[in-house]
Amino acid sequence: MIEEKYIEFIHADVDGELPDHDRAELSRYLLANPEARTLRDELRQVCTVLDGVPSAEPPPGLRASILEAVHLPAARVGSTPLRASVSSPHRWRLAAAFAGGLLVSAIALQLGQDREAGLDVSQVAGTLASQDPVARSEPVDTIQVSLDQAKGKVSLFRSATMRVVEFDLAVQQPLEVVVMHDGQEARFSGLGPAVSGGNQRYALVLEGAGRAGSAIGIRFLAGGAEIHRDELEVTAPE
Amino acid sequence: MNEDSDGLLVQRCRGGDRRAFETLVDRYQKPVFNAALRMLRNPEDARDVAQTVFLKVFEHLADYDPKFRFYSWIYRIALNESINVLDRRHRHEPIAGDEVDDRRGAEDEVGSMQTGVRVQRALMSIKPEYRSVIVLKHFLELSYDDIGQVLGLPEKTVKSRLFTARQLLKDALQAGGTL
Repeated sequence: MIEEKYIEFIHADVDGELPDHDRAELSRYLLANPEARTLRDELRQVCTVLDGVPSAEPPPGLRASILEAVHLPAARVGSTPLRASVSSPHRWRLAAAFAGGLLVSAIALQLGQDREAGLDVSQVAGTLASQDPVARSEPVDTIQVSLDQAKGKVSLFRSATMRVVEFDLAVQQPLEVVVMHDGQEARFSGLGPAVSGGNQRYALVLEGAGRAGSAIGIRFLAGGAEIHRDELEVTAPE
Repeated sequence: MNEDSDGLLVQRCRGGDRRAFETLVDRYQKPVFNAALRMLRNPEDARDVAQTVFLKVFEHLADYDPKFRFYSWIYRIALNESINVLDRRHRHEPIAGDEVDDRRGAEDEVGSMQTGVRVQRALMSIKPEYRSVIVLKHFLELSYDDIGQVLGLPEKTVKSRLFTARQLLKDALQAGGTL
């Protein structure tokens, strides 16, 4: 039988957390108690085995994927945290950063390439505001994009509490997009050519339903220069 | 651990310093990935957890309380995320002898050493609450006090849980022929 106190001493000794005066006491106890010595030896064996397991190197692309997912804005990171719930990095990646000094009231999500397998905007909005999902409705407005750098469409969905701007684009070169809404600007620079070709889909979720009749401005920039500008009209859903 | 530097990096991150965040990623991607890997065994899940951890760190930098050690905070997120993954699996943990998972996970990613495989198998045979303290103590090399801060437990409870975890692990290792 080993006293509880000395069991604790043995573990602490193996962990290097036993004070010197307790170590002396433990030594005396071990001399007189073979069962305690057995426990100590077994514990040392376990620790030796555990400590002999090498650390695994992180996957080579982990760092890049983290930094890709978290585009830091030029200023004010963290002071106005994004409100996304990133529960499945397989599909959902924060893909945007917003200019400093603005009220952050929007988040952007990468939906994936494959429309069939990926998320749709109703899933996105439903997850963000389960009490008020954007119905699987038709967009309230859509603009077509036909540029040398990008082709596809941008659609606006609207519910009582949010607007979702969906980008469905085949992008030929890296683009920056500026979305102007409610006197604010949201920028994101995550648009680029898809590795396997085809369209890329992103959703920008804007807080609030917006005022009917107002507009959401969309600017496309390449190399810092504006290449296209258009507007989505915030109308009530049919 | 360089606690002051971590705090400074967090401050700089809050000020919009991208490089400061990159430094935090460089500093913690390996321990975070290893913690998740030891909790989950599956390297793909561990990778996803690691990414989620840093996204959450980024999102909640404003909420971070500097009176706590940064590494305690990030390791706590890592363990919580790992346990979330375990919960989502909706099945019992793999038991000893789950060769398929061993081949995909431990041997490929942790290394081909048999000891590593057996240790991982033994780890997976004990409950996550015990696995957590083993991971924090032996793979992240935290003190009792640090473990208490990560898990939000008093030091006495940490010790008790660690002692039990080691006993269970010893039995599992003996059963697997490692000891």
